Amino acid sequence: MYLSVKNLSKTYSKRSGFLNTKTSTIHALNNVSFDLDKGKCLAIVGESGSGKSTLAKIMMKLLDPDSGSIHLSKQDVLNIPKQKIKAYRKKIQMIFQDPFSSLNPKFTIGQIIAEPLEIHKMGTPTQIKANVAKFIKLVGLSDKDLSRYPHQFSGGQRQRICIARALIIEPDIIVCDEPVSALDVSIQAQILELLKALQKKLNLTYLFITHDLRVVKYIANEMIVLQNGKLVEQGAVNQVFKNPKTKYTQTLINSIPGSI
Amino acid sequence: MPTENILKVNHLMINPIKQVENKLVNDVSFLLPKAKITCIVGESGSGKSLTALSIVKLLSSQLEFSGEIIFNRQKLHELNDKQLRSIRGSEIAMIFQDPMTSLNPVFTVGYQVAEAVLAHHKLTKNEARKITEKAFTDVGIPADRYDNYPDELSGGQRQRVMIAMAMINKPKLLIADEPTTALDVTVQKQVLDLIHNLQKKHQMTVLFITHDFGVVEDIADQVLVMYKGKIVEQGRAKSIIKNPKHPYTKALLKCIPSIHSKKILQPIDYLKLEREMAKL
Repeated sequence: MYLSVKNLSKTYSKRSGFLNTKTSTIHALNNVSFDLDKGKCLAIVGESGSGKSTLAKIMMKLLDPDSGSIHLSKQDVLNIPKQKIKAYRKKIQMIFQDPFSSLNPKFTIGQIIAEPLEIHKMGTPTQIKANVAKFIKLVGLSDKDLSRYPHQFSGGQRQRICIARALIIEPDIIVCDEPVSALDVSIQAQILELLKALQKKLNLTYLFITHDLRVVKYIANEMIVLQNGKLVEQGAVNQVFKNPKTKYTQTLINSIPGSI
Repeated sequence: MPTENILKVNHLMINPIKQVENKLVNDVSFLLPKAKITCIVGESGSGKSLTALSIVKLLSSQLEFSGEIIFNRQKLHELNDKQLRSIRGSEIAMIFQDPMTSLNPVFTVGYQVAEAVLAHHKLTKNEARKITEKAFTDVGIPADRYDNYPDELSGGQRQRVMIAMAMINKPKLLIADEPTTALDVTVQKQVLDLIHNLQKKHQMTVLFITHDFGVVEDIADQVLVMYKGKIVEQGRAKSIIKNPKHPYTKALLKCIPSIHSKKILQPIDYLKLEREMAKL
């Protein structure tokens, strides 16, 4: 198995009451396990507060779980020594929800896309320049855009820049945290098409976090549904849609607006 | 009997001050039939929010507009600020997209809703509180939430508070500007059902702005499709979704992912669209 997550749990403690003397624990993730093959897309579905972003943060090693294990192509992710974390991040990259706050306004697009290569010391300045030019074209922008700044772009174009930045170091897995929910439907279609085409071309593996089941049906092969940190449904997308096992999944399916 | 219209917008034009050529909304005219839900659909920048804001004259001072807006035989475009204030929030109410920023964080939600009652009626604070608590239960919020601050409520609950505030003076027209875009799907469904039920119960007219044709299909009677500041198609929601005539409407319908079919998403090809529109 390419990616294997076993019994992942994470609790947060919350303080409340007078002078924060009461402590309660919240199970953000409660015994979550799943597997994923290379080149596939797994959708992680849930409402806000279901633990889906906690899962993404743990995958990126931005957060440590309380218990459980993650193996990515046989490497034990949770026990990577500190000095090798940087090397791990070369394998896994993230695309965030809000394209307006995830780009540094003081950097040009060229600098933004080149930064991962510089951090990981991949190539000479001329090689980096050539690589940046290649990836900006790959996401459907032109190399004239490289000297412009983020505020000169629309939401959809900014999300393309984020995708180029995530792809440039050729990672194995991309964690997409609601990459289209801040976008208009027509722009959403462009970005989904782009992600799908790139997946085919570069054999990418996606962990796709979303609350919109229409997007799941379109892009994912497999899906898991989280409710309050617990995994309540798991399986191939078509199977789950045809025959949801839990009432909660049925509610999610019924909440999709329209029937177009 | 022909349906009665509650609002009539004639030749609405909006442009930045001193830039008459740069039309953000270009010659938009439409009617809102009484006690029906009308949706304006379009992408960002199509002018749908500007059109809605201009009805109650809430446009930025950097924009100027011309045209006629007639609400219940009153010419709204000719009214002054004081006259408009008596209409805003009582006869015409609005709900905005972002429930996180449209409530004031330093006042309790109950106080803010009661304020809307007191602005239009001579009542004591206790009477206003009673009306507010009733309005809270009507939109599915427990009355004891009155003394909570906005940050103590979830996004869906805050949007319900906004709806309670909009509904409290029993408006004849409710303008809802993408009220569910910032919400999760299940909460979106609840909020849409709530608006739909309140609309039926009070025989209210609703102008609902959205970019999602799925939402249109669920609630709308009539639909106006806007593109680049113009209405390109309008009519009964069901027939437009089933049988779109304008190339833009067709293109917009094709870029919604579907759970029922394996259709390929077709992002809008704007060059092709412009060519097709030139032929019309």
